[in-house]
Amino acid sequence: MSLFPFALTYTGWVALCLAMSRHAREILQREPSPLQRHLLRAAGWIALTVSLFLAAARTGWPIGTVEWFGMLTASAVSFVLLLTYTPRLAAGLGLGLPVCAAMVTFWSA
Amino acid sequence: MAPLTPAYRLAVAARVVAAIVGGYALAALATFALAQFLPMTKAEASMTATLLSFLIYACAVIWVFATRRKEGFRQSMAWLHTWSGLVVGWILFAVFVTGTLSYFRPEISQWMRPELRDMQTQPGAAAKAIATLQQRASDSPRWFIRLPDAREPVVRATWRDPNAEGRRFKNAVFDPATGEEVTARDTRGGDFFYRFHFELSMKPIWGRWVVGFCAMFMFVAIISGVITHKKIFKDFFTFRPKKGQRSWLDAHNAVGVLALPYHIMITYSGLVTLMFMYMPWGVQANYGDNREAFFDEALAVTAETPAANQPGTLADVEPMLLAAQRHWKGANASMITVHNPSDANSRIEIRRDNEGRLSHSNQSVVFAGATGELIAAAGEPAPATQTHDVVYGLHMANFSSTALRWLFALCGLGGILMVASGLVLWSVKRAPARVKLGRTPFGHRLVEVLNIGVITGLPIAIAAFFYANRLLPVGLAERPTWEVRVFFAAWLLSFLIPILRPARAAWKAQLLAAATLFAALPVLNALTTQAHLGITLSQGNWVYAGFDLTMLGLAGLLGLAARYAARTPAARRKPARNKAETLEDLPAEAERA
Repeated sequence: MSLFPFALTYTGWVALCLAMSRHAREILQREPSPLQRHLLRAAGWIALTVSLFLAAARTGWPIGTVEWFGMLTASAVSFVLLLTYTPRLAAGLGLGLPVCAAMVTFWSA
Repeated sequence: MAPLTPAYRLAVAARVVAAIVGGYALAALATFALAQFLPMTKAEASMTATLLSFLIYACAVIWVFATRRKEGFRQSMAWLHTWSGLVVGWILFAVFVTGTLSYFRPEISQWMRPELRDMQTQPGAAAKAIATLQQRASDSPRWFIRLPDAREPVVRATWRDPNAEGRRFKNAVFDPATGEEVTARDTRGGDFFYRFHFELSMKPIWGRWVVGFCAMFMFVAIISGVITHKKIFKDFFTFRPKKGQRSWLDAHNAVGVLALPYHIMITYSGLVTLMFMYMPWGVQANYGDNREAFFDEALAVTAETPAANQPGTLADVEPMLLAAQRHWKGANASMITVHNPSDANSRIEIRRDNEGRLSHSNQSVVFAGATGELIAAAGEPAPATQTHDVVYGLHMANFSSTALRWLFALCGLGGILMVASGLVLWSVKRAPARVKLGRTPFGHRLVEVLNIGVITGLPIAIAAFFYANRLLPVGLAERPTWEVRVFFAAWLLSFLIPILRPARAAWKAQLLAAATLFAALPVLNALTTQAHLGITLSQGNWVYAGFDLTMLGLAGLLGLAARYAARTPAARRKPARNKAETLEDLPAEAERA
């Protein structure tokens, strides 16, 4: 499992979550506009899809797909737990994680 | 709740019988028919039909219960979910726990033989193991030799003893450097959890049927649970702590939904691992009683060559390993089977490892034992068979990637928590009824005792098993059996406090006991062996160090659970701010409480 696809699935969940008004109110203290919600939803699905392709590119489709499902579960569980206790941090990591993962990948490469 | 009139009880009993027996009959018939009429080769049709059979069974069960109530489909599914989950829940919990441990079967086996700490994989291990077996078991019809790898750097040999009565297979662990049997304490190691996972330490045939039955109803519970969960998307990211029943339901839904692909996969693939035993009718339809023909055709299991009944010798195995490697374009061997080792017609079958693949398909290469000549190699299986092999491989999870195995283990933990929270939820949901009644009915008390005894008792028993491994005298006769006895004794004792004490006190005491036992395990390991964290961490020996660290992690999780049990008073439930909203918020399942 590489870090970057995992981080991307996390970002995907954050975007999909912010597109829901109940959670957006809780995290951002305001209601996103319909356009923003559409964009967030699209961004979420794109992030999840891209992470699948990245995982498959690394280890091949059979293992990559299974890894991707595992990452979806792991990132969703961590996000939901963080969202319960520190919602702002949970959402912030949506941007922070991919940046960190990219840096780690860059440094170790 | 519907009144428990005799007529109502009879109706429920009739449906239960119709679902279990009738559902199986329907699935068996459909499998038999599909195997005959699917437009494929015989082997592929049998395979496809058998793979589909459990889906047919599940649909039949859903169908039987679908019209149970006037309140509608979702209500009847809520009923089915609640009761199918409760009835098989305790066994499922044990199956999930031991199954998750089995992802680390080689590592557990290693840890339980601390004398093997410094073993390293060695070239030439296979030839040395064969030399030893030639001395010790030359009259055996078959040897199985598991080659060393990083997870378990020893050779494990199993062979059939032709003279033995009763248990016909013998096991031994060999040093890869010398081929000699290692001098390590006798233990069943991780194999105990692995066998328990699908046989429950019962007679294999009984245990497998019981686990299969529970897995089938797990599958039914998953499907009915998804149907019952009204707001699967709206509540996807929702967990509301400290709200009593609401929180338990949220937690149950979260671990269920977020790991849903895993739950479906692991339940169905579990049924598939033993599908020819549970549902033999697809093979029966095309092959009658000649099941061997099917396995030869579909699974490319190499047909056994009859012995020539003339003495023969074995050629050097190392060139055969190299030839097999060339055949697999560089992949490594994981297992060697030697058929009729002392016969002129001996066969050496070499199986490849699972590096970089999901499928558990049999990619064996077969050599003539006497000459070392390559005789046969398994090809790519046909589509339905390949599907079977991938599903099987997904369940076994012998992946080369450590990260992927850990992801599976985390999902397995999700499954454990899902079953446990479901069982607890049954009790929590009925707390208001108990308050209203002013007493605890026997059924409620029974569920409570079983919940505590199983959910906290199994971790205690597992810890006790590891303690026994370190504390029982090394020379004790039948040592492996004594380890298992300690396991079951500890588990039985774990029912004592739940029976004698109120539920909350029992939860707290036993969770705390389990946490303490796991936390102290690395300490005990340091006191009794040279394979403790002080040494293994500095050596970078992650098999042993990883085990100890995982025990500390488990202790932390159990400690958190104990703290939670100690903090939340049983009867305290926040009054709902807005009753109407709260009721509407609860899924259909909860309204029936």
